[in-house]
Amino acid sequence: MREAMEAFETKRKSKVVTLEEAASMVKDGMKLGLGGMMSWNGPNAFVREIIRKGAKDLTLIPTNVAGYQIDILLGAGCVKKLYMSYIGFEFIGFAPNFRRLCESGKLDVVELDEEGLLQAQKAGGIGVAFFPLPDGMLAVDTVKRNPDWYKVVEDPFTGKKVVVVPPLRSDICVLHAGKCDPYGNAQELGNPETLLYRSADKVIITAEEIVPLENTMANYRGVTVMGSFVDAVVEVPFGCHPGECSGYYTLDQGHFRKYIEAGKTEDAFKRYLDKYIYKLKNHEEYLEKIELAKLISQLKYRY
Amino acid sequence: MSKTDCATDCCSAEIMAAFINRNLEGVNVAGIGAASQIPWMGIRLAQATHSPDLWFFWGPGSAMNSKFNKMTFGVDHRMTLGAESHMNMSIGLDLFANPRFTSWVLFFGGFQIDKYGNVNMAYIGDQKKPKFRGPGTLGLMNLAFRAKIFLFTGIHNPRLFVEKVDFISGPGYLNGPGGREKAGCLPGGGPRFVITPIAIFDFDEETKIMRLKSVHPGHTVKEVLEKTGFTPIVPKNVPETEPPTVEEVAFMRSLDPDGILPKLTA
Repeated sequence: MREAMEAFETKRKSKVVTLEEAASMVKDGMKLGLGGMMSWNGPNAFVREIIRKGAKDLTLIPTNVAGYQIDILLGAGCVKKLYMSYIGFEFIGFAPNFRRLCESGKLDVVELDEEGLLQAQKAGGIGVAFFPLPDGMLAVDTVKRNPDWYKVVEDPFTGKKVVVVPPLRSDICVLHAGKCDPYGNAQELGNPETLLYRSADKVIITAEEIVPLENTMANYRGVTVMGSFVDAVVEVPFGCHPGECSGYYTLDQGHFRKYIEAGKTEDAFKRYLDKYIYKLKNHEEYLEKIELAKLISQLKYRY
Repeated sequence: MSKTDCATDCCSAEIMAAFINRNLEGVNVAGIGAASQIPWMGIRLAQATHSPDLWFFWGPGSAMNSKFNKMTFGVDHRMTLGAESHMNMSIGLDLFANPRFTSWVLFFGGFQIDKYGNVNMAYIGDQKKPKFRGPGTLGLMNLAFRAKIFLFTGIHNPRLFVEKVDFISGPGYLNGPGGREKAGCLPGGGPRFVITPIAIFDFDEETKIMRLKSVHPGHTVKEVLEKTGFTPIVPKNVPETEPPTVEEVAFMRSLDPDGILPKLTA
């Protein structure tokens, strides 16, 4: 019996690839789901990699409250269409590229609220025709102004009006987790991105550390992504910078302020992209560029 | 309980937090989202004084009864320290229209609020090319559901308090009496108070228009009217907002060693 189990484990195929290999799975024109809420757990190193590769015409599907991971793709000209309920940097400020592109009419935005975005992702993951929203949604202007997304139907049981939204799926979604084993079982210490990964045709996990299967089994109740859904796993330490990786390091407020300043004009942002993406070869050079060795103490989680 | 002299002993944010504390009696759960340090302070004060059974829901991390006791500038995951339960966003979202949600109070703000308590966090102007692009509606649609809502702001000026919002992210009383019912909102929800750095408003029962409930020490009714872009209902006698006690201020400052609270209002 033990030999059979060991044989199973040695024959099991690892999904671990390099960041470059994973980034090449994202093709122009794809619908790309991106994890990361507030300034936490965004797959930011992955996003910088696809910018470096010159990704184009993407449709982005974020979480309900997204920031850098979306805004930088907008600033780099990679995005054709954006589903959103919130794009901003919370207390640090407005998302500069999002604001600039919208105010110049250059972005196709699907203006949703949390229900309209997340319940559509849920519908996309559970395989239903549409998802009903609670009573009262007719009072919200996202519903009134987006009749392509929010439809009004009759409740077949009571005859009442009900607002419904369609399923929303991505071609690929990318999440950043604290730990992931080689088979895709991931432990996210922040908000689990269940809705995103269940509604994606392919899933990439970038992780602070790749852990052995023993770690997964000892912590199976903390595993938030089922490995069977995962197509590629990449080890990317400090992969969330300048954002926080819950449980590992906090956000780099100084870098966010620099970013927002750079986002004020197209030229300033081009210089930012050159400095932190185009003139660098890979994530390791990025970590040198931000002088991680000096930052590490400042970014430590202090209670 | 010793009274404070608000000219010297406390700031606007502390007056706002003290008001929130006082109005959480009998509430089952108080929930906050991002940029909500003032409500956080009011909720922690309530738990430490008259309402030890009050549940505190930290929306961004979907965590219950966080015991991280230091005010921070922004949202960060240390707030989950000492939490008693946790859920993912999908389950968290499903909470908001739970029929038992009438026992909850939620706190929200926006960049435009009108006289019916409607809130805008999306944009001003045309959807395709807005004059002003805000971050987006996010969870403001919760105002349509069943929780009681306390609106709060860090500033008070006529660009924030407008006659009519350009976009309803969070429905208050829409266009007046019957508005919510016509849109299918279930009873019990909607805004109860608007808490600003200079005044407190509630809502007139008949007209559903914002009504000046009290003016903070050091401010006047005239000033409130000048800084509000519509005419609220002003009762004959507008009392002064009750300031926090000396003990309440001491408690608040013990949770705010970095002195962030006074910087949150302008």
